[in-house]
Amino acid sequence: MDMETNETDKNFQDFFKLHKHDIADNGFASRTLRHLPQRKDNSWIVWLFTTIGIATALYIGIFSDWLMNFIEHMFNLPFIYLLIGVALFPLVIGLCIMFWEKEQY
Amino acid sequence: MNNAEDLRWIAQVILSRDERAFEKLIRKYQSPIRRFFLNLTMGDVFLSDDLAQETFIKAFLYLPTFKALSNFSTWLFRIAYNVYYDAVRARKDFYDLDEKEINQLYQVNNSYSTYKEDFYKALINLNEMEKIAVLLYYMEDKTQREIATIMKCPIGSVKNYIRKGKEKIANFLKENGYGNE
Repeated sequence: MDMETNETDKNFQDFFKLHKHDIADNGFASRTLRHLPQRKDNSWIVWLFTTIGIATALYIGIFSDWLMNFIEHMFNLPFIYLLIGVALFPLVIGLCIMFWEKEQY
Repeated sequence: MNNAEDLRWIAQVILSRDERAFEKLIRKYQSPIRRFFLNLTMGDVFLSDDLAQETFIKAFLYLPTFKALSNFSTWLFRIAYNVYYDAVRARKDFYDLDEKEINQLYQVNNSYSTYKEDFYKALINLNEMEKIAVLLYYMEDKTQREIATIMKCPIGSVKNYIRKGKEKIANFLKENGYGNE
């Protein structure tokens, strides 16, 4: 019984070995690379909204006292607030980039 | 298989989206992945290459989620398994055929498949799960634990698939006089 099982096992292994062949690349890798999705550059959206935002702020600022009041208020702010703002800026930008990258996939 | 080398290439792809590094990964693993699909599709070269390409594209997209808990090859075969499973399901819906009919649909229409006709005839008696488990175990030298990870099923089920598949192939070999010469 054991001898028969061993013989069956051996035939089985030989059968698979006989049909196991390596497949040559033959341009498969370069074909696949050509089909890789390219990262979309959507940075123009950020620039568009920034420009619209600045233009709107300047327009409102020129025709009202809002801009002058804002600048005056900025100069009256305690220095520590300014420091916290500057320190938090990279963190906020970093988080924005992180979420932006996640949305790509 | 050099796992450290794989991890270096994977890091290059994730950090700098280095396509050259990804090309090295493709060149290293294209043969086992394409062979796996070729055997599953009963020698359909075009379909198996399409499925292999889809596997590598998905691997490229999901590479940042690779946690290195298993080796890269096992992770890649897991994607290949999912790609194949989706393809079979889509074709089944489309043709409204059962599994054996799908196998016959793929079978023996090119030079490669006539060369391996006996091999495919042996596989055609196996159901999809048995075929995948047997191919991964005997052809791609995966361990039962790795196959359980790839097929996302308990190791007991993997053992069962392999045992049943092996019995069916052994019967085929006996009936067709293998090992008698």
